[in-house]
Amino acid sequence: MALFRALKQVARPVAELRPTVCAAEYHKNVIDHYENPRNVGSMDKADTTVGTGLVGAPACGDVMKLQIRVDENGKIIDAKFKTFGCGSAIASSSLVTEWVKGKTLDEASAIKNTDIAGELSLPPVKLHCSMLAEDAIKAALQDYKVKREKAAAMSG
Amino acid sequence: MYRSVYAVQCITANACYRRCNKVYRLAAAQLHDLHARPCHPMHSRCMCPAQSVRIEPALALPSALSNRKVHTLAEDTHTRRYATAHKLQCWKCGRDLEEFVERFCSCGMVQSVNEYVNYFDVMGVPVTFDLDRATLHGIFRNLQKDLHPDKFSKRSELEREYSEQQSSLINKAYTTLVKPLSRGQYLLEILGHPVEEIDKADDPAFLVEMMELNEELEEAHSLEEVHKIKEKNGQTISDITAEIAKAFQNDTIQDAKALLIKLNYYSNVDEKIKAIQQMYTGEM
Repeated sequence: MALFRALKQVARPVAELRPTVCAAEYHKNVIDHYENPRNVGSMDKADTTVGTGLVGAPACGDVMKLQIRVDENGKIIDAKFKTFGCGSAIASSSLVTEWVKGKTLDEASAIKNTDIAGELSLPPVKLHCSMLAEDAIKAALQDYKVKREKAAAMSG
Repeated sequence: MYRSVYAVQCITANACYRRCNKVYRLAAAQLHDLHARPCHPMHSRCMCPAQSVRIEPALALPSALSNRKVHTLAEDTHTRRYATAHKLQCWKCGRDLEEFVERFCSCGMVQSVNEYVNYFDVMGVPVTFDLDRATLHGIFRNLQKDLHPDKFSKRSELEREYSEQQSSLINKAYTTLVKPLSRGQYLLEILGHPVEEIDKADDPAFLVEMMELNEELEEAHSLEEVHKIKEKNGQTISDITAEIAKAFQNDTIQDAKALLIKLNYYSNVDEKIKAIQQMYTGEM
């Protein structure tokens, strides 16, 4: 039972257990997203309505996966993320999944890392986490577009 | 890990450390006015206005590495010139301190920390990746034997302060150099090729692998499974460490950098595994 309790704690997709940079004081918005991450999970990568972005931050050893599901009108109807990294990286990706839901592809691509950093009040040393989240959503949008073009070429 | 410490120090201690270009630049004008303190000579790209001469350690060091002689930064003429320009004197008797790292003057007084030394100089070891834990630990203990603040409890306040400075620098140098990951990262930094926050991971296959490794750990349902992952991961870590040593020996710094980035990911997983095991054994 002890093991399961232990595993349950680490099973949060995200907890970085190292007391590194991340031990710095967090803004309450970061803590909120860290403790209650929104939209954690995975979608089928092969699904043509799903776009997947997988990015990494070499300096920290973080890896972030962000996925979007797009309906036939080009609206993002669902978003999921999985991040193994520090609190700021988790919060940034969690926030982005909330923001992109209901947005069109163009609206989603307009999300800037400065918006994310602003919302979470990230300190200068953590700005790259918000950049990572911006890269992730861009990569997911790109992946979806490539898939659509391929599908169009096949049917056309 | 030391990266973050630097960034904090940059603001609080007003020291100019290489990792924090961005932060430093923001605060540079202010720092310059207040302290007019020169940058750390390890900065190859620091824009600190107080630094009149740009030091490029990357030009001087690779030869030290490729010759593989016992060669420290202090022996490098370039640095020595720099050190001479900032010649230190004993605070008590006024004698010029000749050695690059001189912790005690011949008059017996403990000295303040020379800011222009790197961690390899602090430990008195060659600037190389090929250092082993036992040697470093031996040096560390010997140094702390003479410099631990407990030894100075009955001395003057200034001596206590200096011994604290020295002792804490030795701690930092030891903890940085003893682990292959931080040692490699520090070496890259000295060589002018640090892993930057703006660097991108451009190997999708590797990222997929890391995602899967982390998920595997997340989904492990027994301590046995965790042990298995740890074993496999530990093997990967020692393989990569050996490759990093080779890359530094061959002066293929970019390869070393790419490998150190990978090692960082595997080390993160290792830390997580340790935490799981600790939680488990802690609750037994």
